[in-house]
Amino acid sequence: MKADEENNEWKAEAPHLANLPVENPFLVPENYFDTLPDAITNSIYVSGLKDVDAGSGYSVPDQYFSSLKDRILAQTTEEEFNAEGVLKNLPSSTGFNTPDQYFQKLQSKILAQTTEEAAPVKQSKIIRLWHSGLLKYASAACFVLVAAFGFYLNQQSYKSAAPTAAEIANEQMLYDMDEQDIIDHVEGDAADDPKDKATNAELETYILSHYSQSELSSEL
Amino acid sequence: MKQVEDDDILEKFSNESTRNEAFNLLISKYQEKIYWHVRRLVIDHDDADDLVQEVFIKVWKSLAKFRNDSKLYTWIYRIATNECITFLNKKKQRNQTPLDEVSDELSESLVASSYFNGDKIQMKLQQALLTLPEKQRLIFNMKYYDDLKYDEISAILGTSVGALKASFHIAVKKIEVFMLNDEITH
Repeated sequence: MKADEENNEWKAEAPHLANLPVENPFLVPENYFDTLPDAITNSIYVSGLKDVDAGSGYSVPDQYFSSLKDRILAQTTEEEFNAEGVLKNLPSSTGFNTPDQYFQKLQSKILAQTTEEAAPVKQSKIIRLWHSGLLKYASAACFVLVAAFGFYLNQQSYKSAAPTAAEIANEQMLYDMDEQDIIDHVEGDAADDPKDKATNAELETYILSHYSQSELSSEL
Repeated sequence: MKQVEDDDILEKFSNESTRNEAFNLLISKYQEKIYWHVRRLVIDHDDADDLVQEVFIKVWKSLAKFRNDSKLYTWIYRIATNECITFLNKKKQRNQTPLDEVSDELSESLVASSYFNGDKIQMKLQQALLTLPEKQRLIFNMKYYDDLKYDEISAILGTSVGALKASFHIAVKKIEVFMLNDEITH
């Protein structure tokens, strides 16, 4: 009754919607609701497995993990001593002594040394090579002048040392000329004197009479 | 077949030896109602299938702590509703889309679904429903399809009867206008 009253209220406001049949337009796969309980049961089982700890089925004594670390440390210490049974019975003293108040002084000694070592190193002053533009350009100009002067000197010395082409040609001509011709040329100046002057015929006669044919041919 | 009463289910569930039997009875009684409630909200069958299983897993885990402060079906409906709202919110966050675009997505899955058998009018009614805000759609479904009373819906959603009536009437008017306008344009 109450539901009908409630429905009549909205049906009066929305007659078009009220005339539509209330149908479920959605479908489900075939036999879906037959298999759904099994699917839900399986999901619950899997969910239960996820919730259980990885070490399920095993249990440990109370406060096992809280005391585990202490027991491991105690056992390893004991094993170290047992492995060296001789040392086990030795007194705990090391057998070595130190001077009186050694360790009290040691710290101050180390600190004193480290403080000395750590004294500040004097910083070297850094001066820039070209701290002004003028000096920079003056340096460049000096470099150019020195380079140009060196080049000039080099060129001059080369020119003075190298013989000219005419000198080379004259020297070569001296080598090519016959020695007798040179002598004749030198003597020729003296031959201008009339008393020393001889004719060609006389010279020929002199040569033929004083030198053999073979000597003349080898000389020529 | 006569359905088992909720009190009988709860009594059997409290006994360790009959717990599984009680839960099977609970599933048989509520699986379809919960499925359709979920399906109408999330539209897609696979999503509904996953959510129904999640709902009953939660019921199984929490049923031992259930007190008779509310009715059993109200309690299960509330779990199912919360699961659906959480699912839709996650979907909205995952896609970084506002709620109306989530409705567009649901509308697309409605058209693309192979598990929809409605005619044109039914399709238009579902599309009209998807234009509603989430809460109005939820209230409309529970009143129109599940035929629940305002008192029962109020117990499930924790909303006052007056607010439910107002929301339902607004939803009905919107759907009426949507359907009439749609008929005029066609």
